[in-house]
Amino acid sequence: MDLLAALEAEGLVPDDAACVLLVGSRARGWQHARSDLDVIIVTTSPMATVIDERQLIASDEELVGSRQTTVDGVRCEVKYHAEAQFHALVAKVSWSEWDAGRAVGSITASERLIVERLPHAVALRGAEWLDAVVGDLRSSSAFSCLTVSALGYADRQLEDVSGLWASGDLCGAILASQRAFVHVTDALTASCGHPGTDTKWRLRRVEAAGSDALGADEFWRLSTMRDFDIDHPERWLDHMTHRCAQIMLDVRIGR
Amino acid sequence: MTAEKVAPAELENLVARPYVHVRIRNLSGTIVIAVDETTAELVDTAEDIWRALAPGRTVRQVAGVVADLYGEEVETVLPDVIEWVGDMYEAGFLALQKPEGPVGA
Repeated sequence: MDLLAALEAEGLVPDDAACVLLVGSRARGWQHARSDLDVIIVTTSPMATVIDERQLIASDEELVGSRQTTVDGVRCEVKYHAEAQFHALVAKVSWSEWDAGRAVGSITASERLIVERLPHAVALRGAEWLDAVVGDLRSSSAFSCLTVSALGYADRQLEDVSGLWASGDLCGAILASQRAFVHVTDALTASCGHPGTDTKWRLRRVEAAGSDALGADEFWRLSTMRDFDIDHPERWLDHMTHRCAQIMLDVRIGR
Repeated sequence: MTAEKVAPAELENLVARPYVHVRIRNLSGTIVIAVDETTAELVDTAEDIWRALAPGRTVRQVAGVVADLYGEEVETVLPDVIEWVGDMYEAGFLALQKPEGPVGA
């Protein structure tokens, strides 16, 4: 399928598009039998002037519009971003903003998705533009910001584990430890340049991260609770929380 | 909240277990841990000792792991390991348990 040609034929690619990107699972080669096509189109002028409102563009956030279509029978979501939004994102996660303590809390949900998706995007048009922006993101605190966010979630789950365990609620503690491990894993992969929170791709991200702190085999073993002994649940908790703590030691943030 | 001092002779045969709710950050290669408002930077051998803490491993066994890292005898590093673990216990970063005792948060 020629995705770019299909989008152009439908009039979905504005003349001023700086970049047309295939992102998400299909860009990474992780797609399954029912995966969508996810496309980001970067425009150089404000959305209102390039997208006809009659095309039912749904705007869920300033400067972001989207359009659903079908390409060769596959559902395709096209998201439109203004180029200025990327420059604003890079500025928000500069190291000077990080040093000032402002970077971590400044990223919106849409920007988080950009940081997750752009490094692995495939440029259908505008490869140089993509390289430049990805280079800016990689040399910024963007990944550290997502890492810190995941660590914060892990902290809260581990706090719950501690309280539940001390109160004798082992079942609750085990469930919370599973969530803690998820967030610790997300923190680790983000710190290695593979951020994301989608459950179904977590094993893929661990594989891609290639960290010595947590290999794919151990991730799968812990995720599927293979060593859980129903007669000694506290042993599982002890091991799981120990591994979370050990992995966190290697989740590097900062420059 | 701080804990009471434990005699070194008793401490070496106990398991030092970091509390589950200890917050851990690797800031550009420097490990910082925190419990409530108390923080500590794990510099040099402190990081090695912390990393060597493991379920069921006594302080003496931790000293053995650290000694192996530096090519030293256990008895050489044991006093320093005991002192540091004692300090971390008193600061509220870890619990001390008997090896055969029940595990807990």
